[in-house]
Amino acid sequence: MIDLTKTNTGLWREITDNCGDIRKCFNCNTCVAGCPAAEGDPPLFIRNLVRKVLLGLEDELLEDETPWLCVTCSACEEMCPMGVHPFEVCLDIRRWQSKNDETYIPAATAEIFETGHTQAVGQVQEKRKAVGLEAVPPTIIKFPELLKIFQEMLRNTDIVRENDYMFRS
Amino acid sequence: MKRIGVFVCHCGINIAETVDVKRVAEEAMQMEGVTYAQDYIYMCSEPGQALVREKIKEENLDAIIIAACSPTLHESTFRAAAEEAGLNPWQCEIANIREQCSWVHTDREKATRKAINIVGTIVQKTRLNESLEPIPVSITKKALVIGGGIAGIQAALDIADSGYKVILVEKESSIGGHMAQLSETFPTLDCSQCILTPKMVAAGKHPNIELLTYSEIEEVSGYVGNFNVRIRRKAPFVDWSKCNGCGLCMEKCPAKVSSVFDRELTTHGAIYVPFPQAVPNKPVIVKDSCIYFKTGKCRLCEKVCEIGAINFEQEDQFIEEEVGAIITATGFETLPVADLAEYGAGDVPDVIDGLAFERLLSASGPTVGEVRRPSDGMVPKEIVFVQCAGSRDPERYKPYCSKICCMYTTKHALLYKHRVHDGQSYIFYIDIRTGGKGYEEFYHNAEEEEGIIYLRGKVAKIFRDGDKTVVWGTDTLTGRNIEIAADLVVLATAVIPKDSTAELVKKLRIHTGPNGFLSEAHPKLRPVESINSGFFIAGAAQGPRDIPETVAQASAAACKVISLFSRDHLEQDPAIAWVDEDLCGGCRICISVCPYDAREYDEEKGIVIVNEALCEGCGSCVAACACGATQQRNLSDSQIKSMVTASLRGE
Repeated sequence: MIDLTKTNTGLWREITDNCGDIRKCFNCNTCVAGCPAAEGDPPLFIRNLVRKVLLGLEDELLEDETPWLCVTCSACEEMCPMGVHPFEVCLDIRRWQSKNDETYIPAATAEIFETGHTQAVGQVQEKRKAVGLEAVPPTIIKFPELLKIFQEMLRNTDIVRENDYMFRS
Repeated sequence: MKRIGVFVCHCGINIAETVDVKRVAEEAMQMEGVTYAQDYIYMCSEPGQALVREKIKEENLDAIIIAACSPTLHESTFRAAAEEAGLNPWQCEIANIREQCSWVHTDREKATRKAINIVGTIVQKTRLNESLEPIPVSITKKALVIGGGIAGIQAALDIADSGYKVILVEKESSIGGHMAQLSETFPTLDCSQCILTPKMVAAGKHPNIELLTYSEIEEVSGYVGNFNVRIRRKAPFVDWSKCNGCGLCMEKCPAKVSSVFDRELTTHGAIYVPFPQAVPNKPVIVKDSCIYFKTGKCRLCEKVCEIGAINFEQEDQFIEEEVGAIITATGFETLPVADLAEYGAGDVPDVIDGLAFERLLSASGPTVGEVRRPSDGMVPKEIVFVQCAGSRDPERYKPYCSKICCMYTTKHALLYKHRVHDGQSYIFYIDIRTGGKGYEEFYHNAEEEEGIIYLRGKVAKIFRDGDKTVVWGTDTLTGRNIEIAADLVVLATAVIPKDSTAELVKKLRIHTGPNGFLSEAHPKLRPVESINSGFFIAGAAQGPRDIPETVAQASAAACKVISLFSRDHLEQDPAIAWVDEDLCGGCRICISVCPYDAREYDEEKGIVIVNEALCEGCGSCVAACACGATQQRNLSDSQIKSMVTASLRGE
């Protein structure tokens, strides 16, 4: 049970930056209805993220990895009736998470390193095979030499250098 | 022999899809007395009516039958068309082959045969129809408005402004109703009393309005245009003609009575006026609470009243009035907090209802507009509003939406924030319904600018824990249970009809719906009329509604009354009961069965006559009459017999 007298109900002021006024959100769920990542596993429900920010559920939000599932297609940007800019909400939460915890490494970074995907596509391999697709969606992974160069580039970033135990090619 | 024309309507496909309309017309042509029959796609259209008028003249018709929809819809249309073509309107009959045939059947052959039968039956009736003239009924051009809230005030003012006399009856000692209790009104936040009191004053001073406050309706008899009303003026034990409203009696009265106006957040003496702007500003003594009436000693008020206005001997008075129309605007009450067991059943002191919160917000309220909770007077820092407290709950409380709560709760949270800047308010809701001009914008503004937290979910439990009032609910948008240890909880309790409405409608002989609200004659097209002529309805007595809607409806009801009064006389349908004086034995069975009190015993003649103004033509007395003395015009025994014979033919 959430005790609302103890949560940080001013959290939205800290988090929101590039997005619109999330207090305008009236929970129509269009941002979820048109979102490709909402079909993923785990799903991305931007409306729920907005809700967590508004209720000030700080600890939960810090642990929440779903903002990193956004594929940045911007469909939600087009559809939100209240000018919340849901896509920017995802990015604002990512930034806030990273700023709040310097040791924070979103799972998606490992995925990018290994497959060039921001998504945890490894988890849908069986589903892809079942409908006659390649197990892993084609990206740089199709070109081993280029993947090597890509990973070398990433090794020059702080996050990979400092946590190299997580990034094995 | 009469020459009868039959006009069969397709009603687009409404009739023609199920009934072979051409065959109906052909068959009708074969019926005795029918000299012309024709089908047409929309009989009620202007060309359709023109066809009827043209054929009446061309074919020299004595009577017409329109085989179409229910007579409740177009009987008047075709009677007018018949009259225009020179026929007596009562020589026009409707054969209902839509509601009673095409709409309720699927088998085309059977439906067609039934339609032919219906037409055949009406042909038999029409053959014996007499030409009739409407019965003129006089109108007393004076209205009675019951209820002195904003609905009653507005209706009374509109009627009075158009030059007609109005009697405005109010149960309490002052007019004003619930609107006088409110702080500020959504969505514009105007001060409720500031916009109400000018209307109260205008109603109090209007030369055409007779204000009867502290009065109740005892008895109503009569009919549209000619009602007789008996009104009880309750004894205030104060001579209002002497009283100058100085207020000394109220200051000195040692009794303590919970203030109904202040939702029991304060007390006043046994002699009181409910609020400073009361109209009329005259006190009354509550007999049950007055120390003198209870013990025989005190009379302090009498001693301090320099002008001798106190009169303990006063008795209730009865006033008889004649009026032509009655508007019922008796308003609403809210479900008592005590009825809501899961919300503390009224035992948790810091759980109050919306009207009580209005009093806390009101500048003229018990805290002079400061929000202070009842238990200890503390200014609440965490406040929870609970919507749908008893509404939208068909299993336990009321099935309907109380309509005004979404808006007034948002207003409450917003006004709270205006008074307690560092306070936090939460609103639990099932849905936010903001159907009204500027309402959605008001809600968004409150959510965005005032930092109100809206939580979608119904509260399950409210209980006291130390000096906190704990609320258990859910935020269904995250699917998480929520607990708030609040300082004050405000319930948006269900809007319900006033207790007294049930008793009043019996006296008026008007109707209420399943939830006890007044019923309108038609939910869309006759929203301010009762089904009984001469009775009109306005305001929240008809169902939950806000101020703009109430005022609009009150003006609409007033407009209906003015339209009634603008006629020289009323026209009563002459197709009613009549008595063959030679046959009537004066047994009076008819009097006992008449629902409209239209049968009266004539001592001199020893027979029972028909009051033509009261008779609605229901036929009860015709059926009950043992000696066949009572007959219905254009529905005589011989007509009914031939109609029955015709309807049975061929089956």
